Amino acid sequence: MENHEHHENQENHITPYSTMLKVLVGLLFLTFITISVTGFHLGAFTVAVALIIACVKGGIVITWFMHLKNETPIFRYMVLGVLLLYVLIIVITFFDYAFR
Amino acid sequence: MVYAIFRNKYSADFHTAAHELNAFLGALNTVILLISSATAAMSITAVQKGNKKLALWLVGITIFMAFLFLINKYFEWGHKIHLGIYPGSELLLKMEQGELLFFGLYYFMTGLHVFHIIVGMIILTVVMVKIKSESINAHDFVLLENGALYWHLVDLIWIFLFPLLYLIT
Repeated sequence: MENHEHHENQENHITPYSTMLKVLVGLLFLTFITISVTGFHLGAFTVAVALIIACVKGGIVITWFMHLKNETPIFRYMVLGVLLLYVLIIVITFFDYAFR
Repeated sequence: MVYAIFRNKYSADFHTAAHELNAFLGALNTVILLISSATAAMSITAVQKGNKKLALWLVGITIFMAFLFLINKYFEWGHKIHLGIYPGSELLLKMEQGELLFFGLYYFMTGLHVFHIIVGMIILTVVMVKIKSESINAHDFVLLENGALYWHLVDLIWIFLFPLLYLIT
């Protein structure tokens, strides 16, 4: 893996190795933050913070590792729509349970 | 969904039960999966640039990381079972309702995830063979792309499982 730099030519749709490495470092950093934050005992907020960070990490994975960044906008909206639908299903079912 | 409702209902029990989980092993597995996801993504770059050797190495590292993840899980589950915490164990049946539910969900969610890991390893092995025989090349790498996409999904699921199961203490 020493010869990364020699192949560093910027063509369309080819994500350079360096981008992937930067993304990896970012993800590892966020993991570290999650672990530290949950050590603070913020009560109910701990779960919320942990989940928000998890969502950010998920977004990073989808955008760069899964190459959504290179897709046309319609795909981006479709992915976003499906995720929103998923969250909506969970939230609505939860309300049904909570106010029964 | 089931997790959310039971967590809401038995949050105190969930806290006690989650203390039993080894957050260090969980964190280690998170790091392992994130690295493997990055190498899977980089292998696409390598194939696109026609660097077959590097691509083989990167997919190989990904599979190796998956293997490490499984070894880690083996020790984690092994320790739990050693302590008498496994589905249907006497100790577990004596626990509070919520703790019982937590461990049930723990084994179900991580078990299903491990199953996906094993499937991913098989897919990536097929991909590796095809890169070697050059039926996956710079012009035709759909299978590699989809294999990597699947692998990222497995990683994505773990990103959410880890805080939900290990960090809620």
